[in-house]
Amino acid sequence: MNNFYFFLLIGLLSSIVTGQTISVTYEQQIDMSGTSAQPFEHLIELNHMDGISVQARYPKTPIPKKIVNKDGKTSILIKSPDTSYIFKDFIADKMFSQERIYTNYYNVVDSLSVFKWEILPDTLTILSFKCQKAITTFRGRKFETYFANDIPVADGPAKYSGLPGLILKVKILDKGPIYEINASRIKFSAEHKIINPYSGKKVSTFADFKRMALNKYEEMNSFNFDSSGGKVYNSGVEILENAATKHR
Amino acid sequence: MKWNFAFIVALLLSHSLYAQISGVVKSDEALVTGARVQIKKKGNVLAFQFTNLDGRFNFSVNEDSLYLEVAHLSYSTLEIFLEKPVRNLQINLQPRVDSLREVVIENKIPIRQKKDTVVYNPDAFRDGSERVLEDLLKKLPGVEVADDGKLSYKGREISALMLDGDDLFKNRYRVGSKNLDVDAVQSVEAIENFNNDKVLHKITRTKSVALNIKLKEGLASFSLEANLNNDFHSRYNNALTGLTLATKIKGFSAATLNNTGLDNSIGLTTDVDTGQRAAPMLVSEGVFRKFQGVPSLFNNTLGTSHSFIYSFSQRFKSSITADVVMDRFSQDLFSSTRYNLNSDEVTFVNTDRQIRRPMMVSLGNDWQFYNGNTTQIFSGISYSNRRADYQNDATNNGVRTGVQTDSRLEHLQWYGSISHKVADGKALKIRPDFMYTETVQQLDLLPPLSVDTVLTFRRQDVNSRQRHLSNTVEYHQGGKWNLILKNVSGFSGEQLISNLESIGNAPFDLSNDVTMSSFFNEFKAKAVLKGERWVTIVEPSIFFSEMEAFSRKNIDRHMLINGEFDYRVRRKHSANF
Repeated sequence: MNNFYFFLLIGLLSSIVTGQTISVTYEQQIDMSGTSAQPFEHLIELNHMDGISVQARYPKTPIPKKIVNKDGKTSILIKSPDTSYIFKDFIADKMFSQERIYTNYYNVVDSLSVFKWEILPDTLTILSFKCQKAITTFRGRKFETYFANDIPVADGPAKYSGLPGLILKVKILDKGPIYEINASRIKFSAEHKIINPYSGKKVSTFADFKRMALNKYEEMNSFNFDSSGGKVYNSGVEILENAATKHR
Repeated sequence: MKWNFAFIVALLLSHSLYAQISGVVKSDEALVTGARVQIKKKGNVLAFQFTNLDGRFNFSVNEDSLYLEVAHLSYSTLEIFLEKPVRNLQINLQPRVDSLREVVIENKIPIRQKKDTVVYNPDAFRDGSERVLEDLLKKLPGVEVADDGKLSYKGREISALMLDGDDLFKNRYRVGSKNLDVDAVQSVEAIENFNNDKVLHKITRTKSVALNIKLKEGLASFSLEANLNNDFHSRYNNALTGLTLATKIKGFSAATLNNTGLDNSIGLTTDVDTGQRAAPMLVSEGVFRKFQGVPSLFNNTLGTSHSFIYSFSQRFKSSITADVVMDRFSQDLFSSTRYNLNSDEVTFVNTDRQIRRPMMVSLGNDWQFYNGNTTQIFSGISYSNRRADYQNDATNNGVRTGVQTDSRLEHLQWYGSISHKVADGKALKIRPDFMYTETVQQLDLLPPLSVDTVLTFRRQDVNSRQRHLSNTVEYHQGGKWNLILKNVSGFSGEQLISNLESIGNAPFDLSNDVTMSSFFNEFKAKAVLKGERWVTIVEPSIFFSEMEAFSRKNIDRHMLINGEFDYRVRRKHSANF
């Protein structure tokens, strides 16, 4: 989190006023297993200006080392970085994010044009903005979102983007997991320069990352977990599949 | 040749079906990238794009009479009507006049549910008229504020009003609700299934409710509030309250002084309900006339209360409390009736004077350790000293009668507890408790009470002592099988010494000395099995007590063994409408 403020500070000091920045705070609830006694809560701070944006995601309250699930069983949580960043460059059609394969983290660059949206007529007012519904299927999961047509930026929380207005709400439609992001605060202000936190760092393409992840899953499952009752599930927010495993 | 012809026809047809709308977006000759360009017809969006690095956009459309809308955060939105598709549009946007003005739009989610806790967002309920916490609580759905300041949630009076999880006010929460500045409140949490034992809170269920006030972060404040009401003669009702709130220390001091009959007494924090309480003072108000149990306009009340909690760390806290309550009631009645009978004047004169002066001082100190997950240790000690001086003096045509009582009660109590989670959903709790109470009373009669011509009593002295030592061991198990095992064992002793002081030599002993001691053990179990449609509850208990009573004439021994077994089977019903 300190890094985030450092970048913001550098950005503010080097700013040249030319346009407007939009800063959005989102509250995220997530429990992809659907078994936790209550979902984990994170905050997402998004800053967007002139087609580029950076967002920081960090826990709303400290993540405990272990939790007791709904069924009374205890889960040990793998420690992850306090803050993770997503940088989007809409002009260059690039999105930088930090991805995880078990306990290892990788910096990954992906295209922003990964969403195929279906815009529906349903509307919902969020933070006094009339928002329109859009649904998509993204890497094995179905989501519904609401975007504000009156805020003409194609951005949104997490990786979600590509709609004609700013996305203010995201909710998973799959049964079981809990995944919901709601905007709680929007601030329009004089802009500051936004810096890519992945600049100068080693970055993999998404295709390379996906290949590494699938290889790791194959490797883990090759240890014959089934005989001991265990199995490694590929069941995050994004389900990575290759052509061979997709219809298995 | 055939294919070439077909290609040309197809090209012509496609040209007639789809046309281009393209252009470049600028502002004062500067290219505008990232502007949203939408093609609309009758309010519906047919297509949208964002301008590229060159400020360009390009649509293929097959309709006429379209609207082209260009929008950007930093520029005013522009809309153009296009009767026919047009290529190479040159669009110039004007910078927004208000683009540098800072605008913040925040969500005010009024209520959120988190397991057993409802979190209220105060901003969603405030209209600006609120001054103190109580004003806000009155507006929260589910929270009720009674006329006397008592707080209830979902119909049950709250067990605690906490500040950031600290029970600073204890049973005097009205000091907090009536004085805490509403601007210091970040959120209000209404907690069901409240248990001040943080280990058991996660395992067992209770019917208690509590409110927790989350204070704004970084708040370090000292507030002092004075309410002074004084008339031009002799009536006054003054209150002074100081509240200290910081990360490590929270505290308050409150003092009230009035002679208007208002019950401003703050209450004693050291009246800790551990199941054992000090015996009531011996004085019975039945011997006095017109001594109502409630304050009257003749009261003169002073109450001060002080409480501080210091957090040595997130795990270790200590609190100190001190209270003084003085309540003076005095009443003088005078009546005179004059009769004139055949020039013979007769006057009946009555005077009645009553004074009641109770005073209570209590001091308390407790220490609490909680390791954040499995263990909580608590130790508290309290001391209270209560005095009462009741006087009644009446004269009826020169005949004087009166009674005077002087009582003193001292109460010392230590109570501790250790709670430990022994496994997931299972916890053990040990609660030792020691209490000592001594009450001394003198009762003077005027005129002395004559039994016969020889024996006259003028004073009764009473001394009563109570001792109690017990230990409670509890086992709690949550989950589908909810099980509570509880065993209380201990000693209890009481001694009553009384003496009637006579005028002259009494022919027999007029003193009494009775001692009672007992050992007791009570075992209780409660098992609740929750099925999908049935709930089975089984509650066996067994009580054993052995008591000895000594007096100068008798020794009595009693033994009691009592066993009970209750069971209930309940079926869950659901109704759909």
